[in-house]
Amino acid sequence: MSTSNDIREPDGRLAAVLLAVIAVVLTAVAAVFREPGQNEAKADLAKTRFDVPHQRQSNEFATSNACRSCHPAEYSSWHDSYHRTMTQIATPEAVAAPFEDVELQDGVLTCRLERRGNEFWATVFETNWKQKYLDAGISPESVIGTTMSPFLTRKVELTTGSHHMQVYWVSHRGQMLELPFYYHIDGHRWIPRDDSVLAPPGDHDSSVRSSEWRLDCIKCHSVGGRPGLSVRGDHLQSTVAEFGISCEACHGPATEHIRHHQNPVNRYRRHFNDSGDPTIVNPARLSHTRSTQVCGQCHISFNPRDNEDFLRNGLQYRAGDKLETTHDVQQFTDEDQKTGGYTTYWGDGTCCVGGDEYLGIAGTACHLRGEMSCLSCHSMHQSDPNDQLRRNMDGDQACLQCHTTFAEDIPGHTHHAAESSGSRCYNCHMPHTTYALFTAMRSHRVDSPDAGVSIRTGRPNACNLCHLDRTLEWTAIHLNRWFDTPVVEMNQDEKTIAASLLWLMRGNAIQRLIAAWHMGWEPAHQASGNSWQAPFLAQILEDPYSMVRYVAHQSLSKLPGLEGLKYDYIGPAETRRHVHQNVLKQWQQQSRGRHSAPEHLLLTTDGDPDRDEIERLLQQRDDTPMVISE
Amino acid sequence: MTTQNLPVTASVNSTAAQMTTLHLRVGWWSLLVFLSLGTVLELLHGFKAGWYLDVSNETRRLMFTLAHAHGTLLSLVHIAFAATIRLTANGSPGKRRIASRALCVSGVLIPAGFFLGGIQFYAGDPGIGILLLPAGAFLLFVSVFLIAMDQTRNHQSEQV
Repeated sequence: MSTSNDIREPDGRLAAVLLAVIAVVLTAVAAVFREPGQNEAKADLAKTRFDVPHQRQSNEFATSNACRSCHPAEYSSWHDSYHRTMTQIATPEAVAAPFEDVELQDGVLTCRLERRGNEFWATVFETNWKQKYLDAGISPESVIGTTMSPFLTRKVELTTGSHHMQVYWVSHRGQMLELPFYYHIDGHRWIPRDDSVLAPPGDHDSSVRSSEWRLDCIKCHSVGGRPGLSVRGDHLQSTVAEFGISCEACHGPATEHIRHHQNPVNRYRRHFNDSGDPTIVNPARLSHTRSTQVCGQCHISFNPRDNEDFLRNGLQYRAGDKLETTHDVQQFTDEDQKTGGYTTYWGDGTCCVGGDEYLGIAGTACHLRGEMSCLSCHSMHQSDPNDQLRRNMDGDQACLQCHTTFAEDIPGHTHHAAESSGSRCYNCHMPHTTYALFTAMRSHRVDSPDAGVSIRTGRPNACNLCHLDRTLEWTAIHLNRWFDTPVVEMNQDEKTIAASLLWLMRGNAIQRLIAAWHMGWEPAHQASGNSWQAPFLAQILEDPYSMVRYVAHQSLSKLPGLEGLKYDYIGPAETRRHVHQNVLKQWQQQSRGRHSAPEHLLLTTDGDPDRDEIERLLQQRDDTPMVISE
Repeated sequence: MTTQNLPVTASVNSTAAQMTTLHLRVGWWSLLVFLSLGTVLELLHGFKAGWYLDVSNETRRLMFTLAHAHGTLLSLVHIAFAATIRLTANGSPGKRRIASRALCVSGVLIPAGFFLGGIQFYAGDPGIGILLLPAGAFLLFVSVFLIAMDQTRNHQSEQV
C-alpha cells in the first residue's frame, strides 16, 4: 500500500526537474537578448586602440538597432540608403574595392594593398625611396626592418562612401588618415585622390583634401561623434554612438523616446493621438526652416562655432535645434566677390559644390517667402536611394504641388512644347550648375534663367545649357521678350559665340566641367543637335584638370560614332593628345558640315574647327585654382 | 449506495462522451481551418504578396503566422483533451466542464486576436484586435490548469 509520501515524492522530483529546465531556458533567453553590460563595454574599450574611433554605448543615443522593432519600414528604407553606409568599419561586406595583391602608383607614392583574412592592409611608400636613400649615402637594403624603413604598413580601419566612390582610412602616428587612392565604384578602378575630385593639376599638397577623420568626417559621417580631445589636449580618443548617418541624426537622440514607449499603454495612446510625439523629433512636423536645417547640418560647409567644445564633446547640434547655434556656416563674402568668387561659389554667392545644398535652398524665394523645405521633394524613407526623391517628385509635380496655376497652361509659361524638356520645371529653374562625385548636379538655388546673371557671376544659365549652340545675346533677347528680363551690356564674343563654347574654352574649371557635361546631356542634344560638339570636347581631353577631362570623355562617349571611346583621363599626356587627334579626324570624316547653324560654333565655312578662334579663347582661359573635394 | 450512484455515473459518462465528441469535432474541423489558413499564407508567399511580405507589413506577417501556429496547436489540444477524457474516466465533471468551455473560447480568441491584430496595425504594434489575446490566453491557462489538476487528482485516487 502506498503512503502519501510515496505519492508526493515523484511529483517533487518532477517539479524540481521542471524548475531546473525553466531556469536553464530563462538564463539562455536572457543571455541572448540582454544588452552588453558595462563590464563588457570596458573590456571592449581596453582592447580598442585609442587612435581608431570606435562605437561606444551612450546614455543619449540608442542607435538604429533600437528603432527597428517598432519602425520596420522606416528602418528598412534607411538601411537601403547610402546614408547608412557613409562610414563603415572595414569589413569584407563594407569594402567595395579589390585588395588582393594590388599595387597603385601616382608618380610620387606607391600603395600596395593586400587582404589578410577579413582584414584589409595597405603599405604606402615613396616610389623613388631607393634613390633617396642612395642620395643620402645610405644603403637602401640596410634600412628594411628598422625604424628608418620607408614602408608604412597599416590596417584599413574605416571606409567612407559606398555609392560612387569609396575612401579608406588608416591609423598613422595617432591620426586617422585616408589612403592616397580612392576606389571609383562606377568606374571599377582605383584612382589617385587628387584625380577623384576637382582639383588643380599637381596639387598634391593641398591641405583641403587631406582630411583627419576624427576632426573632419566625424562631424557628419557618424551619429554622436566626439573627437574626444584629452584633458591635457595632447591626443584624441574618438568615439561615436554609431558609424554612418542613422536614425538619430535626423530624429534626435532616442533613448528617452524608447524608454517612454516601452510601456505599451504609452505606445497605443500615441497610435490614437495624432498630435506628435514630444519624446522624438519628426522633421516633417518641424517648421520648414528647422526641417531644412536638419538636412543642412551636413549638406553645407561649416566650422563648429565652439571648436574647443567640439573637440572635447562633439557637435552639440540635435535635430530640431537652430543650426546657427552650433554651425558657423561658410557663406560667400564680399572678399570672394572682389576676387571673382571662383572658389566654391559663383559670383552671386550661389554655391557650386554638390552636397552643400543647404545654402542653395536657404537662399531660394520658395523657402524664404514660401514653405519649401528639403522634405518638399526628398525623403529618407519610401524614396529612391539614388537621389532620395519622394515618389512623383522627379518631375514637374515637385513644383506644381505649390505652383498649381502653371499646370493649367504649361506652354504658356515655358514657351516650349508641353512635352519638351524645355517645359520641365527642373531644367529651367534648377540647372546642373554644381559639381560633386564625377558629375554635374542640379543647383538647389531655385531661380529663373538670366543671361545677365551668367555675365555678372559666371554661373551658366539654364537656356544656354540646353541650347548649347546659341549665344548669351540670343538668350537675353528671348528672356526679355517672354519675361521682361532686362538685357545687359555684352561684349562681342558674348554676342557672337555660343555661350557653351565660351564656358568650355575660356571658363574656369567648374564652368568648363559644366559645359562639357551638358554636351553629353540628352535634352541638350535634342535642342541643339549632337553632331558638332566632338571637336570641342576632344580639345577638353587635354584640359589641365583631370576631372574636367573625365567629364569631357563621358560626354564624348554619348555622341554618335564615339560610343565606347577608349581614353584614360589620368593616362600619359601624350596618349591623351593622341586620342584628341583621333577624335578630331573621326569627326571630320563623319560629321563635318552637318550642323545647320555653324555661325556661333567656332567652325569655319568649310565646317572645320576654327583653330585661331579656339586658340584665342584658350589663351583667355580662367586658370583661377579651384578645389571641390566632393 | 451503488444503486443510488448508478444514474449519476451514467450521467457522468454521457457528459464525458458528449464532451469527447464535441472536442474531437471542434479539434479536427479547426485543424482543417488552420491548415487551410496555412495554405493561404504559403500562397501569399508564392505570389510575393506585398500586402503580406513587404517590410512595412512585417507586423501583419508575424501576426498571421502566429494566428496560424496557435490555431493549429490549439486544434491539437482539443483532440488531446478529447483523448484525455476518453482515457481517464474518474475526473471531476465540474472541472472538466469549465476546462472544456474555457478551451473552446480560448481556441477562438487566441487565433482571432492574432489575426485581427494583423489586419490593421501600427508599424511595429498589432491592432487593437490583439486585446482578445490576453483574454484567450487566460482562459487557455485556466483550462490547462484544470485538466492538469484533474489528472493529478485522478492519478492520486487511482493510487489510493
